[in-house]
Amino acid sequence: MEEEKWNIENARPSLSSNREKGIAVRLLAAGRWGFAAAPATNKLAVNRLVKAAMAGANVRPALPHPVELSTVFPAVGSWTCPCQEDPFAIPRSQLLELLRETDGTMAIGGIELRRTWLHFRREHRHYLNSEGSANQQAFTLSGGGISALAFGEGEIQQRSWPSPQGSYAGRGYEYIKELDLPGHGRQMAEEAIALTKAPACPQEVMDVILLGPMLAAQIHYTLGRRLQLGMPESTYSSQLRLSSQAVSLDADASLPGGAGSFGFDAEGVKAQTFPLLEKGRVVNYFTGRETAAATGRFSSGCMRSPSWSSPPLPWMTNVILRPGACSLADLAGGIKRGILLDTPRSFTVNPLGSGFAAQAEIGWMIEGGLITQMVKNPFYRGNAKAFWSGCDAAAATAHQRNLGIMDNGIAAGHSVVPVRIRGVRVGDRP
Amino acid sequence: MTEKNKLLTVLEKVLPKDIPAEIAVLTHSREASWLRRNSLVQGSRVDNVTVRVRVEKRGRVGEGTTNVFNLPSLRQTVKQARNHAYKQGPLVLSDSKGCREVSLAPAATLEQNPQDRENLLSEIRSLAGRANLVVDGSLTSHVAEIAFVNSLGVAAYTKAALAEFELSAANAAGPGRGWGYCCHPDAEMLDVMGTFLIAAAKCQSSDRQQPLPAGEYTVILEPAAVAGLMEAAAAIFFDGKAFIQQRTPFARLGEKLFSEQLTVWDDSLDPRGLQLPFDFEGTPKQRFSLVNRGIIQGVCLDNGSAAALNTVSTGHGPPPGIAAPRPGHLVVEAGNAMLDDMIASTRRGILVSRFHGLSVLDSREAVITGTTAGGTLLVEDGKLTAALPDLRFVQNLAEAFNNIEMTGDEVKLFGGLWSSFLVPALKLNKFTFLAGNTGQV
Repeated sequence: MEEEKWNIENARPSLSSNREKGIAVRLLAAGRWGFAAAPATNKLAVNRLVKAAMAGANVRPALPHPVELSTVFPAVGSWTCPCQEDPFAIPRSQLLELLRETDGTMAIGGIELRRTWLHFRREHRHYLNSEGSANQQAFTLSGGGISALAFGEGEIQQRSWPSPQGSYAGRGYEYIKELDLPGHGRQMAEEAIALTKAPACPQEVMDVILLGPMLAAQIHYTLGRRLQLGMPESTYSSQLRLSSQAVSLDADASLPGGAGSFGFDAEGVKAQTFPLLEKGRVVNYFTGRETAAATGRFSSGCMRSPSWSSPPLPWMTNVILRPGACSLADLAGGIKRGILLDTPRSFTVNPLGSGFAAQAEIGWMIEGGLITQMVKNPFYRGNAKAFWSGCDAAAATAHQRNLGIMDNGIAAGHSVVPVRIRGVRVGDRP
Repeated sequence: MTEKNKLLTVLEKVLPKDIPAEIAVLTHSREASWLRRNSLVQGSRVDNVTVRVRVEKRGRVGEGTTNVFNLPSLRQTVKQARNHAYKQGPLVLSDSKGCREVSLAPAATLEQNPQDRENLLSEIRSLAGRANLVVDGSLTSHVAEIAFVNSLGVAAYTKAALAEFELSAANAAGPGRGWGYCCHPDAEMLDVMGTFLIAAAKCQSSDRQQPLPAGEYTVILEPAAVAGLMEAAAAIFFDGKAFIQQRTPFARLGEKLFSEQLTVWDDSLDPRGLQLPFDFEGTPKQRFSLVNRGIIQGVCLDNGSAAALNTVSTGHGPPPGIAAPRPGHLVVEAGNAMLDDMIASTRRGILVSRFHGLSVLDSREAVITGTTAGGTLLVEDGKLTAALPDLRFVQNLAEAFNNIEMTGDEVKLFGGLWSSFLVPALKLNKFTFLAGNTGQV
């Protein structure tokens, strides 16, 4: 794995790079997992890792209910992430120029802190298992973002594009060009300054429209995480309903350029496309072979890990919200009093994922179907299921955006269209 | 050759002689046994090395890291750092050669094997089953070495170890939840059973939950909850980079922000905690005052942020991959109240085991949000009377620490090798919980 992180903060650029090589051995012995990983690459090291993994698994007494795995057909092959422009081959002068240009667009009076960053990661993974699966994969991940911070009276207001954590895609430098960071710098800076003078978000229950990265975060933390079968926030039920009929989600690990795309998962299972939510009802989960077997299914091929040194977990791949038929104007038109929320500033969930609280960077009041004034600190919260049960419309494909969230070192893709949610408790931040 | 000599000799060989440079190496071995639903389902061992090279070339600073510790790879990383020198310099190097040497790697932690861990956990699994509790958790031993060299002749080495146990317990038939944590450099001193019993008691006592109206409540924060708030405080109040960028709630040191009952310092040489004699820039550690009787005394600085303030590093050069200088061994001064005193003196309040999902909403306003977790109990007329669900709060952290009524008489250790908290319980007044605490819209 090699990666480069570029950053410019108030006209001061920096670059750091990282290279890693590692081997991991994961095995089942007497029904229990053993895992060992180390940076070494010679044969002796592999033997040492097998011994360490065996020692981890082979403890007494034996498990009363040994781990079972779902059956898979051995998959052999290779996969390469689409990458038109190799980010590691772009001249440094060009990257520096992009950073400086973007930084310059945010350099206006009232902006105290400007940040622009780029992150490129390339990984070559080689996988082999004792059931005949073998694959080689080459990943290229490109991400970037900007933030402009304005300091008001005892407060900080910020605007970011696409979000404070940026956005990622399984593509090359062409994705950075599409993000058009310099093209959004000035607007972000002006909005951050305007927010310092904007009224606070009113405190009431109202209708909400979620846009782009705000919606991606909402789906990621309150739906996606609950569908990672085997993780603490997930519960299996054959009749589980998580939202209204307006919400249908698909998972697609083979989406070209998706931040969560791959050819084979960390158990050698081929990437799959499948429905997750059909009109609000759960029809499948992100599973690996163990969690699939425990629920009488086949693996959906979603075992992922942040690096070679971590055991894999059932994790989101690319989550696609099926578009509806509305325009953004239609969504707003159906609201007497509400708020449009854009860009997550903070998102936190309750211990078991049932509840959440979030704050957008910016809110726009909607009155009589029309978007009116900007408000600051729009904080909202709710029970995840009740929140999504209030979803009554999704915008059409024309409004679709593809974003990538890096969560615990694993990138997941989100394809979203704006949605309208009825009756959300907004604005009770003191 | 010992690990120390081996590490330092290799580093000296690759350290550039023609330009200012520093190399920090962190080796980390982590062995863990994982409990899931009362069964030990996985044993793991992960070894890794992180080498960070920083150089100054023509007034600019470059940085490169790798995990391949051999001469060709290290030389390549040095070359990369030279080629990546874009950050405005200079590279400020530590020149203190008097780093104290400590080796806190007790044999019990170094030699603990998977079967030892299973033996420690088996009694817990058995008790949990009999009590109809479902337990998840992990028992881990960490062993780490840090080596550092720079062009000014600083060469430092230390070895550290930590054993830790974390578990969550859930009632198999009800909503009750409990959580427990303990850590110690010496695995033999780890109170695994005591930690389980606390989590089990919380779980059983929180089984019948009642809702709570929104409002300001007196809270009794157990040490784990205080550690959570202190982690947020480290980011909001004590981060030197945030102070330079004016993202802190105060513009100058010496302001009284908190209750006189609050005194906080950072001390990586405190024998009760996890000792580290120097930071990741080779600066010797010392006790450093952050808050004295409510007055903000200092912010944490590494070499770069100290130079920006025309002063010297406070010994908070962060580990590779971390950008901000923050306290790594935070200590809150103990008071004289027992937890029972705090409960007995409360007419109506909430006992909080720990916090979950803490998030900073605005660092300048010091506003944070999060939920309680691991067992939240209602206190009425000096007694624990009922269990509560996980409660969502939004709170100004400066105001919270300005409303300290009582401070616990014992401190407890939380955290990992490079970020630990030695904290007592606190009783605070006027802590703000939101309506619809179960998260209903």
